[in-house]
Amino acid sequence: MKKTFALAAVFIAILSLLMVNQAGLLAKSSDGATETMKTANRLYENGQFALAAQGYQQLIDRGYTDSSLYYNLGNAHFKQGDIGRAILNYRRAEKLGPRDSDIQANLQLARAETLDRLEDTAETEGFFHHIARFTRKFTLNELAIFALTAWFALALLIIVLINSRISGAWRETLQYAIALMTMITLLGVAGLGSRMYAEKTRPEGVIVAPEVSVTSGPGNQYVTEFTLHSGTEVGIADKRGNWVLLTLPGGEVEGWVPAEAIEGI
Amino acid sequence: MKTTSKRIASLIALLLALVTTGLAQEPNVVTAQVDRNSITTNESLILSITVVDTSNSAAPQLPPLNGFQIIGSSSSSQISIINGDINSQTVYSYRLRPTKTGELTIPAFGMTINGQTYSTDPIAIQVSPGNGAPAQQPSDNSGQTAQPSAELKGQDYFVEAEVSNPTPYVGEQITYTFRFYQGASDFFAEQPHLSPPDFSGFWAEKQSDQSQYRAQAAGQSYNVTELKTALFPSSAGPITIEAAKLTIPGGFFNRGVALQTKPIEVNAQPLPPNAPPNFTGAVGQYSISAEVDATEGKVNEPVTWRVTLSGRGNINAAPDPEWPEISGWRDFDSQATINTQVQDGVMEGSKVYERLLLPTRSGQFTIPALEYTYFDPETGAYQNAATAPIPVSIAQGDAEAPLPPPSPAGAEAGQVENIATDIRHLKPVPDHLNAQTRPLTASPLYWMAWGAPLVALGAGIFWQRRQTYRAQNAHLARSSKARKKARQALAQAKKQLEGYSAIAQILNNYLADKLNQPVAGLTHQSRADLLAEKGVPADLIAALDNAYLNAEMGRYAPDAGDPLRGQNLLTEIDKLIENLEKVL
Repeated sequence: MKKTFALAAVFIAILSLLMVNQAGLLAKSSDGATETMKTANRLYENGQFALAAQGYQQLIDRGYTDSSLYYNLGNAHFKQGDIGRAILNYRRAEKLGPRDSDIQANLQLARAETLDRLEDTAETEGFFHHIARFTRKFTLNELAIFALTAWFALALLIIVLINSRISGAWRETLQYAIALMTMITLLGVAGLGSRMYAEKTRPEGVIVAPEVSVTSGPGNQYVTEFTLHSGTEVGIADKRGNWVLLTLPGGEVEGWVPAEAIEGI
Repeated sequence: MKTTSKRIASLIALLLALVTTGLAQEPNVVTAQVDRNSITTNESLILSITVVDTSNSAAPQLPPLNGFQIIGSSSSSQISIINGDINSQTVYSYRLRPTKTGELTIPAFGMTINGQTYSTDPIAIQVSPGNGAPAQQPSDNSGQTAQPSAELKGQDYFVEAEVSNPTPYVGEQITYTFRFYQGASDFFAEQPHLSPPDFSGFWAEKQSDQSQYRAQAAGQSYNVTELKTALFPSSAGPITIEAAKLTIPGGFFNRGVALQTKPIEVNAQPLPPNAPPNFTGAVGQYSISAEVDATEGKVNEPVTWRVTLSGRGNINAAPDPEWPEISGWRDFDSQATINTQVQDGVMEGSKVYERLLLPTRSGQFTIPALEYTYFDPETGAYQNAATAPIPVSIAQGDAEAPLPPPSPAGAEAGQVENIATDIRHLKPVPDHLNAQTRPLTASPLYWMAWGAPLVALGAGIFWQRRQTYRAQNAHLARSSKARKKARQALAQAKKQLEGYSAIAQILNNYLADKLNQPVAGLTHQSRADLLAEKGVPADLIAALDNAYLNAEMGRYAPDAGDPLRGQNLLTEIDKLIENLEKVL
């Protein structure tokens, strides 16, 4: 029994080590960044949206990755009528704060202003689709921590079951708990896996140019297949030199655009 | 008197047409109209420019008016909300006086609203010479003109008040006019302050617009500011309108002045006694019309019945029509949308009722005519207005349960309406700005952590296995610990310089553990037998016997005190146990 406790202590230590690893990065915010953001907010409130956007962008370029920064930058672009960059930054903010209703509301409003209407025909059914939809409510890190914690808890329960001499009803309860925790762990792993897979294989981007011709190959000499407008969200399938191969939702239609016309989320 | 009211009536009709058609069709954003097309040089006309749905409230720039002089201007705005649609319009009125006779034209002019230019039509005016000098005073709808008495001669400013009709019927509109005459050269450091009478005994509708013009009175030129209030006596009998007070604050150049008008007596007459039974108290001139949004429908699908009551009079307080019971239908109460305006001090407008009618069975129906009885103070008689009956055919609807009663149109009142949608506002600055660049999954430490439970699980299983095995084989445990115990004992003996005395004990314990025997039961012979049984070579058994013998002998030998000998023997025993360990 004593050994089980020791094991639990080791687990908790490892988990908190990982957290501290993260928290260590948080401690960076003492170099006037909040002051810069305050100034940018004030500029925004005075209607100087272009200057405010510069302020937020500066902080992002300096390595700050706060969801509120991206959200405010998105607002500043929206107010300047740049729907493409507004959506781009709302999406980036959403990735960092997936349960923020403000981000969702503004994203929806910005999407309503885009010119291209695309139907997402891909994977509307199926187990993995549901998992993917559920996991959209969490950040990658939250999924990672969740899966790992579930796995630790499961291992701990198994060790307790093997090494202790409990019997009867308690043993049965423990066995049920292990079955449940196994399911939770599998779910966590599936969620983490599907998210990592999606980010690795299907990176997304937003058209930031007001209008761009999508060609059949990476160069101007190819046939223009169709045109897209600012704010359209697409998948990025390939990059070759200064050209990006994009796919429309559904994955069947694809074409090349100059790299400066699109930004990855 | 007669022509004046006719003129006003036609103007009202025009305005009403403008208001009602403006809703239905592409609205004329800017329109210009005059109250009459032929005047004499003695008279003046009103040019009204109506701007519909204007968000910027800049007044129109009038074109040069050849042959006219602008002697006064006013503006009034009106905002109406009908079914959630907001309509606003502003009417700019200019009082024009012709300066020459003949065919004059008010030219077309353009106005730019929200980036689009709208233009009006030119208006032709026939001007004929009048008799005598042109009137300085605009003709009022009541026909009365303000003629300040001679005693005011020479004063810089004075005020006066009058009513258009001192003996109105109860509910009939009279116009209370307040005028402030200001010597043409005067200016005030501060705005004069007017305390109007409180008009008790009347339903009062104040007009927002005030008109200004110049007038000659008692040989002096004045700037006149005119304010009108529509009054409706609420009961019969004499009513006094208290004095209106105007105070002009003193400035650097002039003293403060307090002016006040004379109180006015109004004697309200009761309505004639021969009122029809369905008269509910409306006084004025009204018309009523009705329409439905569909003359064909289905059971349980609501039909909107729109009834418009319009006319001159106290439209705000006009009683509602009596709603008939229609058999086979359910109806739902509605609130009315009221739209009023004041033209030349006369209140007019419309009240639009929208009732939801829900047919409960199929068939041919007639939505009955609505009668509206009012008292017309101009003719002094009760009048009737009525709508036309409307036939409606209702088909059998889908065989569904009756709809829940739709919320009546009136329920919209008080509901929050989204006028415009904007993005949500900025986020405040957080205490800490997150600066994490790499996700956790990019860190090798994270993936190493996934291995930790596996290692722990493996170790736990292994440990458990060993425990179980040990528990099942207790003698094995004893045997496996024997060497360790013997070694510890030997080390102990070496340290305490005990030598011989410990040796037999240590050997006995070791063998007993190894052979799983009680220590006491190991005699010389049984020991040899057991060892031989275990397959220990004979020379090793002999060496063991020898060691026992040496220990025994050494205890009683004369040099027993020599520690070195004892120590050597202990080392020998250690070697012996090591050899035994190989075979046991």
